[in-house]
Amino acid sequence: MNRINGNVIASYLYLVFFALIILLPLLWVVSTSLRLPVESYSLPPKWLPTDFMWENYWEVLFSYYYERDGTFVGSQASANVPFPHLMLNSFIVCFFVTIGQVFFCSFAGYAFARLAFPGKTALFWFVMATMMIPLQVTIIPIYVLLSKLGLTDSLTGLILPAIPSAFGTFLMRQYYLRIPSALEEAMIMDGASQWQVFWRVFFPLATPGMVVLAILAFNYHWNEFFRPLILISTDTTFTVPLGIVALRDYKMTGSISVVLAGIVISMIPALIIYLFGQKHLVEGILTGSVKG
Amino acid sequence: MANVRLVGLTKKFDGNTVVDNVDVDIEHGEFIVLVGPSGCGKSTTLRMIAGLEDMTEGKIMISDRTVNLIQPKDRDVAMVFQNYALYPHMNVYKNISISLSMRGVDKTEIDKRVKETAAILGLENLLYRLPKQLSGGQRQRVAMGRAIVRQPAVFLFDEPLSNLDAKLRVQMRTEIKKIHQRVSTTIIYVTHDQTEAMTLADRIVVMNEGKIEQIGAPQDIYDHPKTKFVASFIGSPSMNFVGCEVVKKGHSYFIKLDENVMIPLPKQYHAEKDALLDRDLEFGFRPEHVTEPRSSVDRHKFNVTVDVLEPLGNDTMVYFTLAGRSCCARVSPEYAAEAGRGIELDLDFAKVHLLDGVTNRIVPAYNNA
Ligand SMILES: Nc1ncnc2c1ncn2[C@@H]1O[C@H](COP(=O)(O)OP(=O)(O)O)[C@@H](O)[C@H]1O
Ligand SMILES: [Mg+2]
Repeated sequence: MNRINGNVIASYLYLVFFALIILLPLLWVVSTSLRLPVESYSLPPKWLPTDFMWENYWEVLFSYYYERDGTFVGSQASANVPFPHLMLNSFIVCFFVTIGQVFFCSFAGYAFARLAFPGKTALFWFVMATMMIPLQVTIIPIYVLLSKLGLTDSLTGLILPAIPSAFGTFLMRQYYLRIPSALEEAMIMDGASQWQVFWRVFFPLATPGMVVLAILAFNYHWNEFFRPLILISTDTTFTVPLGIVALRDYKMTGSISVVLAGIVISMIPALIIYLFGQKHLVEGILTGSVKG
Repeated sequence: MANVRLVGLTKKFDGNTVVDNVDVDIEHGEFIVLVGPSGCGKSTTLRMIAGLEDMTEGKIMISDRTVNLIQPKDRDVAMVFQNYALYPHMNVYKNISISLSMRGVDKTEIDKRVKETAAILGLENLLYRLPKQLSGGQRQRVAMGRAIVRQPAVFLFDEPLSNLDAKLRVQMRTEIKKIHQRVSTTIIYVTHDQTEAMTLADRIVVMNEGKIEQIGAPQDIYDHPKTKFVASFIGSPSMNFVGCEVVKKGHSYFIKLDENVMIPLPKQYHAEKDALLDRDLEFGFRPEHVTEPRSSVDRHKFNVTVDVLEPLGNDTMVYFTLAGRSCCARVSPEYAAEAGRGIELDLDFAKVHLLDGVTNRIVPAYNNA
């Protein structure tokens, strides 16, 4: 065996090791979500599924809507939340927050990357500084503001404050900075207005940045717990993470199989968004534009 | 009709003068090449003409109209960028046509002009490709097509060939010249390559450190450089310079390079010969004017030892040391020469220059004296 091969094998072992550390808990989650509740806390932990209790999934999704069949002997911790409805809520929130962030951050990022205006640097660092302030500090003023607007306990109240994003602005600015300024100058020579420079060249060329931002924003808000916890109180307005907690709270009898089934279901949309988005992460969108 | 006048054009970046009081008058249809070493302010000058850079002082006139305060898009100039700057997400057709569509030219007219331009540049079969699907030379053509399609009053080229390999560069050079003959639009062309300047220009503007060193037709600049900078920058390999003094022996005048090498003062300097005595001078001659011995008047033979040989095929470059300076001669390949051996060389008097060592300017010669 030569040295190159040795190195390749070593690096694979290294990667497999860390992949296992990350994937094993997930495997346990999936296996346990399919178990009989009595076996869910077995020691040592069983990594692979033992029973295939698809009823746990049925519990999560439909127990709110259907009376339980008398012959069903599964989980003792049944759910009392309208889980499909919560998924729709989460989807609505994530959809509008993502669209809003991508749209506004594309504009703000461009301004900070490419336009010259008084106070630009100061304003930019001011926007960046907002990333340093924990949500726990701003949640009370936000709550007060939203309640004055009558938007607490509504999806709109969850969406609107999440649209301006300092991180998204930063991310998009970095993408715009990568686009060579010769393209802007070429457009100017070709007779473009400032708006045309942005709309016809910079905006389309920033799509990879938008896809990254969209994936991150969608995932973040899909998993977001704290803001919905504070702002939402009616169970039909819950988002998925609140619903998962509610699954646990109901009857509190020690089985976590149903909760884990809920978690598995909740992971699926985020996974789809990621796989779908990844295809659109076009590396080398600038290829062929400038040389040297 | 578009002439271009630069009057006292000056640009300072944070107090650094990058373009210094540049005056050029460019005729309609002229092919002007700005040439100079990297960093001498060529691009900055071009960008000021385009309107991409503000000027600190001076005036730019295009077609007898002062354009200092006029937007780039209204100056009627088109620019070809060094790095092409193609729009990567648009196909060739769109890249070429976008300037027309943003100006509101109607569709059929756009189509006609894009097709014409594509025909001139041989891009007909590539119109629906993206820039990334093109070779370097093809991208270069698209960049030119984008300028040509507008039929502007003036073309500005900023080192358009410097990203191409040597062979393609020579080929595109010829094509640019053809295009100029065809469209006869005024062209201002920037390059650091003196060969490009010599081959393309109607007139060359040699720049150094932001200042114009000399303006003139290529042959004129080559034959009669005015400064040491121009003499060494134009021509490859560059002109040899050797410290010298002019001495008088009896009634004859000589250029004395060192104790061993004395060359009779060439005729063209006889008019002012007494003024040359006791001056700090340098003796300049081009490699191609030192050859194997040839029989003709006005030549001076001398012996040197060969340091290095560089065969080029058609000629062989001979490097030797003269009065402590390394010099170069161009001899025919048949002329036997070998490193370390002595060789007899022959200098063409009519083509030598004397340089004032204090001002670094060439001492004017009088060929008919
Ligand atoms: N935007 C700028 N800010 C400061 N200095 C600049 C700027 N653009 C060019 N320069 C300087 O001006 C000088 C001339 O640059 P340039 O015109 O690009 O030279 P050239 O095209 O002849 O190589 C260089 O020393 C360069 O560093
Ligand atoms: Mg340059």
